[in-house]
Amino acid sequence: MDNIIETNDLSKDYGKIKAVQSVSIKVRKGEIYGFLGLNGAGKTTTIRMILGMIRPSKGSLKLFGKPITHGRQGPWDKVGYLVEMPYSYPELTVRENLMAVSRLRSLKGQGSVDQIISDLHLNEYEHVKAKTLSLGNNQRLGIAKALIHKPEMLVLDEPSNGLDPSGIVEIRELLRTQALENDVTVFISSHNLNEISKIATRIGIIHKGKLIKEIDVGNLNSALKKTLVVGLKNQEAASRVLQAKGISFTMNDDIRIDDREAVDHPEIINSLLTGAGYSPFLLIVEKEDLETYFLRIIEEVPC
Amino acid sequence: MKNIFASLNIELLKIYRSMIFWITIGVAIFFSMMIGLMMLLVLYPDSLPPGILKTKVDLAGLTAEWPMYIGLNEIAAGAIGMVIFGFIVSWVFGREFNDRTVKDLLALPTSRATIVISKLLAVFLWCILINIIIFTLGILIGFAIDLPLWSFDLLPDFAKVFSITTLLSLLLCSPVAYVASAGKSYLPAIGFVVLCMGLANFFGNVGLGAYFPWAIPLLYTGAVGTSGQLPMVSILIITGTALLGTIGTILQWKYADQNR
Repeated sequence: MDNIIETNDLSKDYGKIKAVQSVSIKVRKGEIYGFLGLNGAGKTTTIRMILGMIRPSKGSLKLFGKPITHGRQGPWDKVGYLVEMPYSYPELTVRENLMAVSRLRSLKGQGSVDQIISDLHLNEYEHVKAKTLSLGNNQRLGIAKALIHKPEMLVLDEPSNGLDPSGIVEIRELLRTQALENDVTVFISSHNLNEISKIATRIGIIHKGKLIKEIDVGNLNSALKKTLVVGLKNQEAASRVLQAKGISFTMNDDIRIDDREAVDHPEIINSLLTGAGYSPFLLIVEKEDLETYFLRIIEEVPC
Repeated sequence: MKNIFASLNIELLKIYRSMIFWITIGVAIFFSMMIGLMMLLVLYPDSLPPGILKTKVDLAGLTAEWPMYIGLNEIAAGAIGMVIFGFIVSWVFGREFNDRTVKDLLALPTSRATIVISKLLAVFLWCILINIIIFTLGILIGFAIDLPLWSFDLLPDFAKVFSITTLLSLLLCSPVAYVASAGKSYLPAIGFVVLCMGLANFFGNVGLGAYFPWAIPLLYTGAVGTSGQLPMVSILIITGTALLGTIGTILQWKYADQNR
C-alpha cells in the first residue's frame, strides 16, 4: 500500500453545478500534497468527500488502500483533519474542547491533551473559553484537535487562515516535522501557492472543479516563466531593431522579451542594441513569481 | 458502549456549560411558581382588587385544593414540558450546525449513530431533570401555600401521571431531532415544535387527538379533550413516531451530505 489517498474520477454535482469533476489524485505515504485552487474551485468539496462527509456523485476513493463508502466507518482513527474555518464549542475551554475530541477518539488519560497544548503553545489559553479566542488561536485549537491522536494522515483545509506570520511559520514547521519525523501523510489545501510551495512536496492545482495540473515542488522552479526586461531611453527605435531581427516582445514602460534564447543569453540582446546605438540602462532577467505562475496556469485552461 | 458513555459525557458537559441549560431550569421554576400563584389567588380571592385579574380568577372555575392543583401541574408537565423539551432537542441537535461544530463529529472512530444516540440520551436526562424540578417544586409550593385536602394517597397517582406524561413527551423528541438535523439548524426544529403544538390543540379539540402524536400527551393529562387512559392506537402511534424519528435522525447523520 504505497498510496495513502487514492481518488479515481471523483466527482460531485449539485444539480447542474459541477463542483468537482473527475479528480484523480494519488498521495504517497509521507508526502505533503498541496491542493491549490481559488475560492470555490472545489478544494473543500474534494476534502469533504475524502473525509466521508459528502457522497461523491461519481468515482471512488481509497484511504490506506481501503475503499471509503459514504456513511460507513472509515479508518478515522488514523486521520486528523481541519475543514474550513475552525469552530469549537464556544462554552467550553480550550482544554475541555481538546478533552472532548480525546474522548471521542478513545484516547486514554489526559496525556495527549497536555502534550498537544504544549506542542501548540496553548498553555496560556487552556482554561479560556473558546468563544473568547482570537481567530489565530482558534485556528491553533483546530490544528491541535487534528493532531491530538498522532494521526498517520492529516487533511487540512487552509490551516494558515487567520494566523500571523510567525504562526504561519510555526504551523509550517510543525507539519514539516510531522511528515519528516513521524512519516505523516499530509493533504493540505490553500489558495496561496507561495505558502504551499514552502511546505508541499507535490502540488495539485484545481480550477472550476477540475484537477488541471500536478507538479513536483522540485520542478516548480524550472516551470516558472522568465522574462528579459530591457530599459532604454529610445524604446521606439530600439523596438524596430528587435522587430527587424524577428524577436517578439511587449512594450510598456520597458521592453519585455519572453524568447527563451534571449532570456538565457541576455548578452546577445545587449550586443544587438548597443551595436545599433541604443545602449540599455537596464537589462535584467525577471522570474515569474509563484502567484503569477498559478494565475497563468488557471487562465490557460479552456473552460 | 464505552463510546456511548464517552460521547454522553461530552454532551452533558456541553449542556451543563451552556446558558440555555440554566434558562430552561429558570423557565421550569417560573411556571411552577405561576401555578402556585394562581392557586394562591384562588385561595385568597378577596386579596385581589376588583378588576380584570379578579374576574379572570373567578371565571377560571378553579378550586384551591390539592386535587385541582395536581391536575394543573400534570397539564403543565404535558403542555409546557413538550414545548421546553422541543426547544431542548432543537438546540442539542441544531446548535452543531449553527455553530458549525458538526464537522468535528463526522470523521471519528466514534460512529455517527453513537453520537446521535448519546445526544438523545443527554436530551432525555435534561428533560427528566426539568420535569423533576416541576414535580418537586409543585409539591413544595403546594405545602408552602397551605392548600387544603392533602392526602398521601394523591402522591402515587400524581407521580404516575407525571411520569407517563414525561415519557410521552420524551418520545416526541426524536422527530424534532430529525428536523433539526435535516434542516441543519435549530430554527426549523423550533418552528416544527410550534406547528405541532398548534396542530395538537386543533386535533384535540375536534376529537382526533388520539391519532395525532403531539396531541397524545395533552390528551392523557386532560389539557385537550378529556383525560384518562390512552387507547392502544395512540400508544402505537407515539411509539412509531419515536422510532421513525430516531431512525430518521441516525440515517440523516450517516448518509446525508454534510456541507456545514
